[in-house]
Parts: sequence; structure tokens; C-alpha cells
Amino acid sequence: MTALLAPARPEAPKIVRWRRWRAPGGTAVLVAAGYLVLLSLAAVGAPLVAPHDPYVQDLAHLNAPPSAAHWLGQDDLGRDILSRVIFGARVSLASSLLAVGLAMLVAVPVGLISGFFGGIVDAILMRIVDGIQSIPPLVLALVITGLLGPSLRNIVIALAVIFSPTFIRLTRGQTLAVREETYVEASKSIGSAPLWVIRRRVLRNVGSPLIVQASTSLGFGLLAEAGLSFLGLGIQPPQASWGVMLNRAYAALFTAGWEVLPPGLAIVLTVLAFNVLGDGLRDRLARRDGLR
Amino acid sequence: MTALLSISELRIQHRRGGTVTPLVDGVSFTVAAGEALGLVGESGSGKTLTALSALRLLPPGVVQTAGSIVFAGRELSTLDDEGMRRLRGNELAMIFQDPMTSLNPAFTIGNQIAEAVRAHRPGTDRATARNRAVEMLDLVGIPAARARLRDYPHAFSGGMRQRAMIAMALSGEPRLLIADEPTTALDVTIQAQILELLARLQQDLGMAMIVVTHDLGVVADVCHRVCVMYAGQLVERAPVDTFYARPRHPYGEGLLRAMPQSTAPGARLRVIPGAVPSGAFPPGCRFHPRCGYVEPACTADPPDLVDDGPVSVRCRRHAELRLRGAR
Amino acid sequence: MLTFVARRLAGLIPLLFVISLAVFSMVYLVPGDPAVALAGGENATPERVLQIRQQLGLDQPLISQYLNWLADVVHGQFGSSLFTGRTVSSELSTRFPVTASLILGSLIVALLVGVPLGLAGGMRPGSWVDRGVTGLVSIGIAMPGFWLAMVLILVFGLNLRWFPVRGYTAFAVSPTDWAYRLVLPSVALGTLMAATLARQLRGALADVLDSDYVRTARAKGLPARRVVGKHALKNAAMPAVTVLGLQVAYLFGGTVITEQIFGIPGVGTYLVNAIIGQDVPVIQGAVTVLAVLVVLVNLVVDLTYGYLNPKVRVA
Repeated sequence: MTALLAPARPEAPKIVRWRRWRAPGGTAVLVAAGYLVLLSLAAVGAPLVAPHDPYVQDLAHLNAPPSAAHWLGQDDLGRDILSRVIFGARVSLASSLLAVGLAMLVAVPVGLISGFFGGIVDAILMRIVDGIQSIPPLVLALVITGLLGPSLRNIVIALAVIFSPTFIRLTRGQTLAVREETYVEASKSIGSAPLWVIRRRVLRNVGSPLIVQASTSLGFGLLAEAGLSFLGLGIQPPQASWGVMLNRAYAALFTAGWEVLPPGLAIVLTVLAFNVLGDGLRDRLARRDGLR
Repeated sequence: MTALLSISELRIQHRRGGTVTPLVDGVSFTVAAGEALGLVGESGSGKTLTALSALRLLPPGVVQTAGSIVFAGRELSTLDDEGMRRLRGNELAMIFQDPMTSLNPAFTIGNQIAEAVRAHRPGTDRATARNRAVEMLDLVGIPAARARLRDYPHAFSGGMRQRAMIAMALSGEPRLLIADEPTTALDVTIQAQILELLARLQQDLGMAMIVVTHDLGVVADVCHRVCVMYAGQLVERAPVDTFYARPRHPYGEGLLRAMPQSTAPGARLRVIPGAVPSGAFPPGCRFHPRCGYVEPACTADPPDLVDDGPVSVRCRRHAELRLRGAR
Repeated sequence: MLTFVARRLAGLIPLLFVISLAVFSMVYLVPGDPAVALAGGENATPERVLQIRQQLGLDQPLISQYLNWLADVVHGQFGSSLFTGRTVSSELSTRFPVTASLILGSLIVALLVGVPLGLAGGMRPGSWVDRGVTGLVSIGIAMPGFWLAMVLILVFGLNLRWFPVRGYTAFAVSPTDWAYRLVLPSVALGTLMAATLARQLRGALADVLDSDYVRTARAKGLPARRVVGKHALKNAAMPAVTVLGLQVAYLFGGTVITEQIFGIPGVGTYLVNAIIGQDVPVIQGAVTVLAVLVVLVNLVVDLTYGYLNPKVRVA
């Protein structure tokens, strides 16, 4: 009977499979990943790729529109906008990347501890997480950089603080699930599973959801960096970041409004790419886990 | 006796992009007024899709590509949407496998039944519709029916929800009720009650019924005739008594012998080895890779469905084999 | 339902405690001796340093600093600005309606744009309409609101001259001018909300339309508009309400840059100026109010959810 007539609800899995077949194709994900790879290469090799020095001013051509020598034009100090977008990618990507890295470095152990010990430890840690999430993220980042003082380091700290709650929750949830599982297995043999067993298992399981979340956070990090720098609370001029460039473009809005386009489009495209990548990875993981 | 529902040469496919997967492949059967028919097979045999197609409720991407479905003299596959809507829940009703998810959690039981009543009797006022809902809940054996109208589905147990589903389906006094695995998701003790209820209502109300199931015990309890499906095809169609006494198709024999009821106490349950093929079917008889009576010729030509007395069977050896039924 | 409300309220106490601790300790984020730094750094006069030290109570032990601050906050006194001397409460109460107007405008934009898009996409998942909606939503989510604000100013303010580019008129002064001036800021701010709402609604609707109970509703012979309008929408609306509520709460802080760009004298502008000037009492006061607001909106969303979802109410 078992082999013949199981599973007990024969038709249900099939419906799920139909739904999965309709998931969007992988082309968008590939394009997004390709764009991000190219962008990263350009950022790393900025001095080689950029056509001009991003700091050299050309006071004879302030706010000059695009030309053969300056494809995206020149800003309010005559600097080459294309070169500044390329150099800006370095700072913008680096701040976002470092922030996500720092957030994970702190959040994964915290989530692990919270989920493993449970009880009062978990309750306290989770209330702290709730508390952080009660403050609107942009406001929190502004306050932190505002009080610590604006710099790349402090942007990274501020962004890491606002990213941490999500990562902590993710890891904690995974830890709870693993603890439940190993408890069931281990109770048969040795009583309960030690932390290191759980840690190894959690780290193996939490990897993929963390990567998905990281991709989305990288996009949000770019947006937040742009906002902070735009308000003068982030990267400081003359260093170029996309947010700093938007700040300059805002100052020139009435005279050379088109200058908002290059850094703005760079942000939109890059955030879009991170989100598409994140969604694509999520779908793929869901599919893999579903078929297993 | 004229047929109430007559399905012939039904074909259903899943289409996505360029790939076409056959799911139901030339199924034909009829149901007479007042008759109970069992549609049995393993998962993936296409039995649920066949049932859903009668109400034109196939999931997205799954389409009927050929064949006709005639209900009470009307061709359903070409009927317009409004005509189809008027039939559903009225002359032609259906209940589903999982009562836990088949009722809307956001509305009361009373609301959901009254809504079914009013959908087909425009102008019915709320009070009348509610009274009708109470009547229906009484009919399906829900105690204190009027008080339970205000309950949300989550306050009902699985068995009660399935009773509520039945009440809803019967509120339009259907001539045909299709029950798709009506007991699969329920506890064993509840299963028996629901089956008994269905059998009683079917006889009392004189409606026809199709019971889609993988459980031959259900068919034995409730049905007059049985259709066995395998890999999208009908492999055997027979009166229930005949089928249980002497199945003509090796797959039918396998199903009967796999029933726990037909196994001697203490003996191991018998199973049919292998699984239903999906997508690509084997050449020749689709059942031959799992068949204990396979001959070389079985792998070459696909057998036709042929009549053998009251039975129709799709097996080239049906005349020579003496298959064993249930004990 | 009453116990449900009571339990939710009791859960707020530890949360509010954590928030108060976090906000209180903000002053110690300032590098070095806060009193010196806030007085203007190394060149500050000793009198000014002393004044600030006393105003912030930095000369007292930490625990009494916190308790004094907490006592004030509980009584609705959030201190006053280090520079203007005006109280945070009076500033916030004049600026709050301004920001609320802006958020109302964004909410209208979000509903007007987000709901139709979400419904159109969710009705037929995988169709070309759905793909179009998904594309628009992705772009809407990837766009920095303040960049959109600049583009809107550029196109509709400077080139087409349809809308004013800066400034705010109070509703009491002129309702039409109030609405007119809020159009561009509301679109800039509401686009993200519209995109999020559309995505949420689309996903929920697609899932719900695929559910067993929608199949049941169709099997009952209900007309299609009733299947969608009654059975699908109520269930699909629940997650959307949650998301929308949280978005609105966050917006009270998220209007910061938009207000700055359009020269709107709301809570955001106040907060940014305080942050740039390191005006700690103002920062603490404003952040406390914003956080409590988020907590309250969350509570309302939870209760609404409980009301819409009978299962939660009983559990």
C-alpha cells in the first residue's frame, strides 16, 4: 500500500510544480550578474579605465555638456563626469560591501547565540533588535553618522547597524530550526547537541538565505550611502561617490540639470541589478529546496 | 438509460513554451443519472484533472485539447463562461480533497453557504439564504446548525469542514456531484463517516456522483461502477462487483491486491513495483514496465480499449488471463 | 479580542525601554567629551562647555542622567535646542502637520498607482501585463526618492513649469495651494511606496487566486468579479495592509531628504538640521517621537490584521 498509493495527498505536489514552471527565466539574472561583474572590474581598475583624472578641474569648461573628450560632460568644477562615476563606483560599492560584511560578521554570531540559548538571552537580544527596527532606518543611519562625524568608516558602521537586525533574525530562525532537528536526533543518543555541532549545521544552512539577503542589502546600502552623502553626512568632497555627485548636481540643478542623470542612473541600474540578482537567487534556491 | 455526463476522447495537456506534456490521453466514460462512479488510479494518472475538466476548473497552463464533455445534453467544452458559471454549484457541483484549505478563512461558514445559494437564485433575500444554509448544515449532520453559521472555518474540525463543503455543494441540488479525494485528508475514523454521509445523500437525493480516489475501499463502499486510470488513459471500466470479483487488467489486479483489506492478517502488504511514468510514456502498453504478465508483444503496439461483456479493458491478454480479485 | 489587545500592549513595555536606552546613549556617540564637542570643539569657551554640560545633565552620574531624561520624556518634555532654545515639543507640534500632509499625499499616490498595478499584475501572473508591472515595480524600488525628486523638479518644475519647485503652504492658509505644492513631493516620496504596495499586492493576489478556496468559490458558480472582488481581495489585502502600515511609519523619518529638496519645513528638515548641527536634545527628542510612532503604527497594523483575520483574534 505504501509504495503504491503514497503520498497521501497525491495531487498537491503537482500543482506546486506547475506554479514553479511559471517562474521567470534566468536571462535577467544573467544580465544583472554580468553588469555587476563589469562594474566591479571598472571600480577596481578605475585608474586604468577612467578616461580622465576625476579630480582635475577645468575652470574653462564648467558644467560643459557631453563632448567627444568628455562623454558625460563636465561638472560644476569642470571635472570629467564619466571618470567621477567610475571612481565613485569604488566608494559607493566599497561602503555598501563593507557594511554588509560587517553586519554579517556581527549578526551571525548574535543570531546563533540568540537561537541556541533561547530563554532570557534570546528575549533580551530580540527586544534590542526590535528596538533598532523601531527607528526608521534612514534616520538611524543619519543620527549615527551625524554624531560620529561623516567619514567612510562611520557610514559603514551606520549601515551595518541598520542591516544587522535582518541578518540576526535570519540566523536565529535557522538556528532554532536546526536546534529542533538536532534535538530530535541527538536525544536518541547523547542527550542534546553541543553548540559547535549546531553552529556547523547552521552555517551550512544559513548560507544561501544570507547571500540572498546580502544582495538586497547591497542595493539598499547604495541608496543609503547616496542619501547620506547627498546630505553632506557621508563621503566628503572632493572624493567622488554617487551620492556626493548628486549633491553637486543638485547645486547645479537650475543651471545644468542634466548632471543629475549620470550618477542617478548609475544608482538605479546598480540597485536594480542587486535586486534582480537577489530575487533570482531566491527563486533558484526555492526551486532547489523544493525539488529536494 | 441516457447518460447525464458523457466524456469522450478527452485529452488534457500541460503547455509551457514549446514543451507539451500529455496528462490525460483519450479518456471516455459516462455517468447515468443517479449513478455513482469511482474514478481510481495512482497519483499522476490524470483522474483529478479529468474531474476538474468537467467543471472547466483546470489549473493555469493545463488545457483540454480534444474530446467532448456533454452534461445533460449540453457540450461543456464550448459553452460560454456565463453558461458554465450557471452550471457550476447548481446542476454540477464539486467538493475537494483538502477541507482545511478549501474554505475561505476570512468569511463565516454561513456566509459561504448562503453565497452559494444566492449565486444561483438571484433575488433570494439574506434570511431565506441563511435558512437554506441551516437546512443544508442539518442535512450533513452538523449539530446546532443555526448557531454555527457565524463560525469561521478555523473553528471547525477537518471532518466538519468537509461536511460544510458538502452542504455548500448540495445547496444547489446538483444532478451530479464530483468528489475529488473527499476523505484523503481526513482521519481514518472521520473518513468512514464522510463516506457514509456521501453514500446516503447520493441515494436519498438521487443525484449522480463521481468519486475520484486512490482508495479502492472507498469505491467498494459507495460506487456502482469503476473506471481505472493509468498514465492518462482508461485501462479498465467495469461494474464494481465484477471488478472486485475478477479484474481484467493486470493493473486493476495489482490495485486490488494492494488493498490492506485483501491482505491476510499478519501478511506483508503487496505493492506494484515501480511508479507511474510521467511526461514520456513507454512504447506499447504504458503499464508493461510494471506488469507481471508482460510478453514481448506488449512492448510493441499500444493496446486499444476493448469490450469484454460488461467490462471494457485495455490489455491484449485480457481474454486469456484469469486475474484474481479481492478476497 | 480584548485579551489580544491587552497582550499586544503589554509587549510594548520592554520595547519602549530598549528604545529609550538607545536614544539616551546617543549623546555618547559623539567622539571625546560630548560637552566639549557639542560646545564647538577645542576653541569652545569654558562657560559654554559648562552650560551644555548642565543643560544635558552630563555632570551627573549616568543612572540619574538616564532617569531624569526618562522622567522628562514620559511627561512629554523632550528638552530644548542647544542653539535656539526652543523646546522640541513645540517645534515638533508645528512641523508634524507639515510632514503628515506630505505623507498623506504619498499615501494617495501609492494607493492610486500601486493598487491598480498590483491588481493588474496579480490577476494574470506571467502575462505581458504582469511582466510590465514587475518591471515598473523593480525600477520604482531601485530609484532613490530624492533623485526622482530632482528629476521631477527638472522636468515638471523647470522645463514644463507645471508645478512650483520649492516651498509649502499650510492647509489653513490655502487648501488649493497646499495640494498644488504637495504634488511633486508626494510623487517623489510615494513612488517607492506604490512600487512596494504593487509588488506585495501582486504576489498576494497571485497566490490567493491559486488557492483552494478560490477554486471552491469558482466551483460554486460565483461570477468572476465576485470571486476576485470578495474571496481573493480580502485575503490578498491583509499582507498589503501590513506592509503599507510599516511604510507609513518609516516615512515619518524617510521624508528627510525629500523635505530638504523641496524646502518643506517638516519634521525631516528639523531633524537633518539638528543632526548637522549635532543638536543632541533635538535629535533625541525627534528620534524618540519617530520610534514611538513606528511602534504605535505597528500596533495599529497588528490590531487591524487581527480584525481582518479571525484566526489571529481567537488565538
